[in-house]
Formats: sequence, C-alpha cells, structure tokens
Amino acid sequence: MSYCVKCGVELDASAKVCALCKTPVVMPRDLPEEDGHTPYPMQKAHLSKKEKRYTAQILSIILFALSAVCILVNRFYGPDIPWSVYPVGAFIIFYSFFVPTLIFKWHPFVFLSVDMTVIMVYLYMIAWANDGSGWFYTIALPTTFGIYILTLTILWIYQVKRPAIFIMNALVSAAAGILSLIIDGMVHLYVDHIFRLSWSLITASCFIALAFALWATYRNIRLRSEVQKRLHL
Amino acid sequence: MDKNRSWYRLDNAAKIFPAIRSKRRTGVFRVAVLLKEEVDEAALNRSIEQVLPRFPCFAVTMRHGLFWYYLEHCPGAPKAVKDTVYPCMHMRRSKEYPFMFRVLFYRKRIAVEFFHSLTDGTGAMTFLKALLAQYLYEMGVKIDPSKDILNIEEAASAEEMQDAFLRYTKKAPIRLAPEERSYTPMGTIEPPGIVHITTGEMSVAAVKALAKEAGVSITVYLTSVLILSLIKHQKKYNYRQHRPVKVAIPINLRNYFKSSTLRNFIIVENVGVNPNYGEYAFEEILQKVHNYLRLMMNEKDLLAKMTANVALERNMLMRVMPFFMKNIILTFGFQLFGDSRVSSVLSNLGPVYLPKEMQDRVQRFEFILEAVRIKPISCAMISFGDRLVFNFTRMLEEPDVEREFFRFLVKKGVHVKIESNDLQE
Repeated sequence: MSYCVKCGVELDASAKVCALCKTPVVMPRDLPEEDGHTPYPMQKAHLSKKEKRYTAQILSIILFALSAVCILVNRFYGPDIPWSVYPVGAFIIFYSFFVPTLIFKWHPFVFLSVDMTVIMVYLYMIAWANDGSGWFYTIALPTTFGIYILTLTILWIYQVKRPAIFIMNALVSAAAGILSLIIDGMVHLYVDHIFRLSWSLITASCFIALAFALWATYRNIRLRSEVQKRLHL
Repeated sequence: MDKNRSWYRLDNAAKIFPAIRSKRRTGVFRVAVLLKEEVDEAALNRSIEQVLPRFPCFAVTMRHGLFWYYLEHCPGAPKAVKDTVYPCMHMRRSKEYPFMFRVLFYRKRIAVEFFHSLTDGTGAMTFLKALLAQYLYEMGVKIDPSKDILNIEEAASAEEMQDAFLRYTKKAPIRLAPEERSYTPMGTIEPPGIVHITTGEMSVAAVKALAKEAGVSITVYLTSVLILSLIKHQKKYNYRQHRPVKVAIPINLRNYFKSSTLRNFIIVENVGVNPNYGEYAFEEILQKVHNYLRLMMNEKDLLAKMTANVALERNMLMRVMPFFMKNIILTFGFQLFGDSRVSSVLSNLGPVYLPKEMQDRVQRFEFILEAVRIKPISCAMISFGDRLVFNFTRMLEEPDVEREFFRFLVKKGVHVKIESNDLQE
C-alpha cells in the first residue's frame, strides 16, 4: 500500500498521483501491483445526439409553418406587394444560424460562411425588390463582408492561439472600432461619393483605447487577478 | 395498490428537477455497493427483472403535459450497463431506454443511478438493497426475510407511492426568512460532462470517537470540517468582503413524519457561519452547527418549511402556467434562492443494515451526488459496518477543498484511504 507524503492519506494501489495534491507516487523498491485495476472505470460514455436532431426537426417545422402562413396571408392581403418575402427571408436567416449547428459537425468557418452568404443574398433580394443596388454595393456588401472578415480573423486567432479572455475582448473591441470606420466611410461614399471619416474617428478611438486598456490589464498580473476576482461569473 | 395505475404526478420535491435540467445539471444521483466478488452481468439482469415489479414507482418514464411533468408506467425492465468514468450523467429518455434510472456495474461494483424526480436517497437505498438481495439469491446465497430488505413477493403498498408532502402539509403556508447569498467555491470549471469523484474511506469508530469527544454527531462533525475547509478556500482567494459559508443538509422527513413512501420526502436545512463576523475556530463552528440543527430539526419547524414549498406548487398562477414557462421561472428562482444560498451540500444516508447472510458478501456502500456550476462541490456519505465512505463530487479542476478536508481528519488521527476517478496519465 502507498501513502501520500504530504496529505498522509492511504492511496489506492493503482494511483500514480495523490488525488488531493497531485504529488507523484514513487516506490523505488516496491514491485508494481499485478492487478492494475482502477477503483473507478476509465472508459468514457458516448452521449446520444438524438435530442439535438429532435430540436432541429421542431425548429424546422415551426419555421416552415410560419413561412407558409405568411405566404398564404400575403395572397389575400396585399397580393400585389410580395411583403411575405421579407419575413420568410428572416426565417431563412434564423434557420441557417441555428439548425445546421444542431445537425452537422462542420468547421466554424463553414458555419460562418453559410450564415454570411444567406445574409448577403437576403440583402441583395431587398435591394433588387426596391431598386437599391446602389446602397447594396456601396454600404451593405462592404459592411457584411467586413463583419465576415473580422469575425473570421477573430475565430482563427482563437482557434490557433487560444488567447485569454482579456485578449479576446480586446480583439473584439478593436474589431468593433475597425467596423465603425468601414461603416462610416461606406455611408459617406454612398451619400457624398467620397470616402471620408467623421463620427467613426471618435468611436474607433474609444474602442481602440478600450482594447489597449484590456491588453495592458492582461499584461499586469496583479491587476488581471484583481479584475478576474471582481468580475468573475 | 392498483398495479394497473398508468400514471403518477410528481411529488413536491420532484417537480423542480425536470425544470432545472441543463448541460451541467443532470439531476441524477447514485447509490452503489462494492461486493467482494466480480459482478455477474446475467444474474444482475435477472435480478432487475425480478425486483422492478415490486417498485412500480420506479418502472416509469417521464413525460410532460401542458402544465406539469408526470410519470407514466413503463413495461419491461432495463438492462444493466457497464459503468463509465463520469457518474451521474444525463438520463435522456428515448424509445430504446425510457426509464429514469439505470443499473451499472464495474468489476465488483453494482451502482444504481436515479433521476431525482423518482426518489430520494432513502428510496434509492431501499431499491439497491432489494436488488442486492435478489442478486445474491441468484448467486446461491440463502437469505431469510428481514425487516432490512423489502420483500419482493409482497405487493407494493399505496403508501410507498404516496406524495407524503401533500399528506402532512397544512393549508396555510408559513413564510420563511430569506437567506443571504453564500460563497461559491472558485476554481477552473471543467467542461460539461466531466466530474471528479474523490472517495475517502475511513473507520466509523474513529470518526465517532472524535465526534463524541466534541459532544456532537458524526454528521455535525464532518459538516463542520467541510465548513472549515470552505472558509480556508475562500480566504485563499483573498476577498476583502467574504460571503457566508453554508452547507445544505438534506433531512429525511421519514424520521419525523411517519411514512413509508419510496418517493421524495426530504427537506434541506442550510447551516453555516459568516466569516465576516470574525475568525471562527473549529470548536466554534462545531457548536454553531450543532445548536442550529438542534433548534431547527423538530416537527414544527420542518413542517413550516415543507408547507412553504408546497404552497408554491399550489399557487393558482403557478399551476396554470404552461410547463415551458414554469421551467424558466423555476430555473431562475432556484439559482437565485436555492443553490446560490449555499456553498456546498452534504447528504448523509447513515448506516446501512443488511441481514447477516448478506453482510459477508459486501465490502462497502457508496453514495454520490451531482455537482453543478453554482455549487461545484457536493458531498455525500454512507456507512456500512465500520466503513464510512465520504464522497466528494467536484466540477472544478482543483481538489483544494477535499485536500483540506481529508488532511484535517488525518491530523486528528483518522486513517483515510483515497480513491479517485481521475484519468491516470
């Protein structure tokens, strides 16, 4: 039998470390036990995913029913104006955001790409129905594409580097600042036909300053610990 | 007892569990027995088929109506499955497995896990003892009828199926004082599905001697050690403002109100100290816990608390609310007024008594609760003969609290043997 030298407790014969303090078990003169069985099984269970499929089915039925109702009502109320296209488009966006994640095991980049494509198609459809190709190509498309690239970048950094939550928040803050610059510039380009920045300089400065503050807090270990203690969830 | 009865309402304590289920909260607990020989799977499966008809309140599946969940009779019997590293996993009802309990085995261990809506620890132990008796009978052990084991030849009585809360509570509720939020043990939260089990096996006589010396019961003594460990844990994180440290102690109401119900019949008392009042010595914690429980554990105070819980269920607004809205409100309310009022829970199933013929075949019994995010450390204890088994269930990576707990006992001269389900690397 072995004991933990720090805790004083007896350990199971199969234990390689003490469960209470992780001190390694070293017995240079003893032979290893023949029966290497552990007191608890080491095999993990596989949980079924049936509940997720069921949720996806329910969501699909609900969204399909809602879309059908909108289309039917449109036939009787305002049949000249295809207004049901807008709520049906919104339902399709909601569907593409949630249902594939319940069924498929794609890479997050694929989910993001599908979501952004659906959004851009929806916006294009609105623009086409209302002669808005001007604002679509100048404002909607660059903004959506900008959100896509920024989100993709943050996701990639998270996948590769797994940075701490402070750094993630700093990155999100910086991305929000860059996005405000894009929106401001594109709106001015559409309205004034010239790319210039106005209000976004203030918002971007605030976001960038916040990002820098978060980064600086992270770098200071004592400050980081104090903030974590007070803001932990 | 009408064996043809097809459905049952959930009892008062049971109603909360289906509502508050989530990724990290399964609502499942485990009772287990460690034998002296390897378990025979075929004999175990035969035993389940023989024993389950005696417990019609467990041969059920859970469904929901518009307003409440309910239990529906389910034919057949489940098969025993191989145990896995993380106990108390989700009980997912499916066509293939509609039951709300499962029987598991691993080497010499037989474990039964129940969804808490079915029963409490006492009801679970009654089932496990009956299953064990039938299993040993299948293995050739002759067992005489005994008051310690339910006779499976007898029919189940109506009282075993009864909601004892409704039987005893008065019509007029009595309001209880709201409690302060307690300290939630801090640490690195593990991903959903991963729980650490630390089992400490020790001598009942050794712990009893310590408790007797202090003039308290074993439950009070070990609860005080747990509170002390949690206070030290909170101090380690160097908060300027410390929160109260309280432990929830489930109380078996069958000891105060006559009932042989196999369903839930427990109430929880929260006991602890507030470190903001000063530095508590261990003896002071002992006295506080001992005196508080002596004050509150009487028929009238327990009845008042029971009535307050039942009043919520009887409230007309609550009754007419659809079940999915109830789930949201109950989850929110339970987190605000339930789990967050305590730092941990310590459930003591007490000593297990078996007929003499069975005692020689059993090493020990085990009792494991689940841990949840807002209460990431749960404790459960049970004893058999001179073997007291104290289980920690932990959702945190760091074993700080149990390290303090067991080291305290070792310093007091108690020999503790530790086992754990940590994956050996």
